[in-house]
Amino acid sequence: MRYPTALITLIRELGRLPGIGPKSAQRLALYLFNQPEEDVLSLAQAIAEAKETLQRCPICFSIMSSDDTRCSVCDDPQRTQKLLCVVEQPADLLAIERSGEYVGLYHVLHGSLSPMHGIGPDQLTIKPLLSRLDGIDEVILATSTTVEGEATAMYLARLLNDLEVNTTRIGYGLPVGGDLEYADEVTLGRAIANRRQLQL
Amino acid sequence: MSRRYRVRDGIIIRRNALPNGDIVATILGEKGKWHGIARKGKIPGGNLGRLSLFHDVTIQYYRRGEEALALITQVQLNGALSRLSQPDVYPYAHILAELADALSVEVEPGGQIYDYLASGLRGLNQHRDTELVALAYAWKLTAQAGLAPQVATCTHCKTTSQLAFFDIAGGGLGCQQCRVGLPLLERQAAEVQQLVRGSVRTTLDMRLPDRALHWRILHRYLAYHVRPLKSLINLSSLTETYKGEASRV
Ligand SMILES: [Zn+2]
Ligand SMILES: [Zn+2]
Repeated sequence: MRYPTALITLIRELGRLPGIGPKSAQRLALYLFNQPEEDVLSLAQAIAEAKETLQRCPICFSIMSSDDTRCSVCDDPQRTQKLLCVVEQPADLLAIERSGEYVGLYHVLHGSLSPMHGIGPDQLTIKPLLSRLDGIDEVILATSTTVEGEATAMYLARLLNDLEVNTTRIGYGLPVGGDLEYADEVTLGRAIANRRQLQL
Repeated sequence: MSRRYRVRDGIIIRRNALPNGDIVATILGEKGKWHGIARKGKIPGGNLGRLSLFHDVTIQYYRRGEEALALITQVQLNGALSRLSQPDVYPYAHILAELADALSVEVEPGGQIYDYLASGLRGLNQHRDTELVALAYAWKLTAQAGLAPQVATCTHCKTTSQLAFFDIAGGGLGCQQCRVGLPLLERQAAEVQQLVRGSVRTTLDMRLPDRALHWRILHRYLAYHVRPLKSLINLSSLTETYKGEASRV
């Protein structure tokens, strides 16, 4: 039997999602076909709406609603304005927020340096980071403990050191080779509390 | 279904983290290159956390049917080079790993590419002049794959004298009479000969003043004869930024 065109299209689109192979795509497509129409429509609507109404915060590059001019963290005067925590992904920011250990501001890089993947400093939000250091007393480098995350932290530490910005690194106590997103809250909270000066 | 576990050693030359937490790794060993997936490999702790870029590991895996990706079940760390994430080392480690990836195939009888990558990474970890180490090993890796440029004679007329051009498409040095390619000083042509044919040990004693030129030759040669390397396109943004950008901001 040949699949109808609409089904082939759906399988192809699902198969383009990260981590979804051809078999999973087929399974998902058939699953969706068997769901009530209103459920499928509300999923489609949620996807379209998220794409339409979410964008990056112009200050910290985290996610915000496009109705706002800045994200809820940047907009919160209660937060310590002199502390800046640099993370790779919005998910890492959420993980640190869950730990409840941190009250300062954030900066989301949207990745880590990986020259072989074509990701250099210009592909990350490093220039905007360097332009928001006025009034910052300490930059906490909370990139992941992978080789790529360490390299990004070292690179930033050197830049920030040249600009005479006090720079610290979390990760002491965090298992090596992982993303912050997956660290448990207690470990993450401790890693932030025990941050240290980077040896350059 | 019975699972047939196997064990293989190698260096992780590429690592892609998928949003669902899986990690796809490319591993280069003595017998060639292969790809594996570690389910939820991003979760720190446990031995899958050792599946890090440039790590030398022993991996236990199994293959299900025709699937191209081996399923990684255990990772044992044999060695990690501590300096590879330093700003003056990291971009060069990427160049060697990306080049080894481009040059190697699934079945590699001799294992020379693996050997040169391993000693290149060790060299980067130890030597002060990491830029020179990277240039030396990049040409060595290329030569191991049988793709070295012709540097003993002019690629066109075969003379050994007055070599003062590098002809990218022609695949090697050119002479003053043939005049094809990128013009060089005779000293620079001799440096190319040393980089391509000399031993790593003697190459590392060189001063090599015109490095931007040598990177340009390597970059263009590989782009033509192997494939364009992303890490080479990026190189100046990474190395120059940390040398100069901070003072300009
Ligand atoms: Zn913000
Ligand atoms: Zn000639």
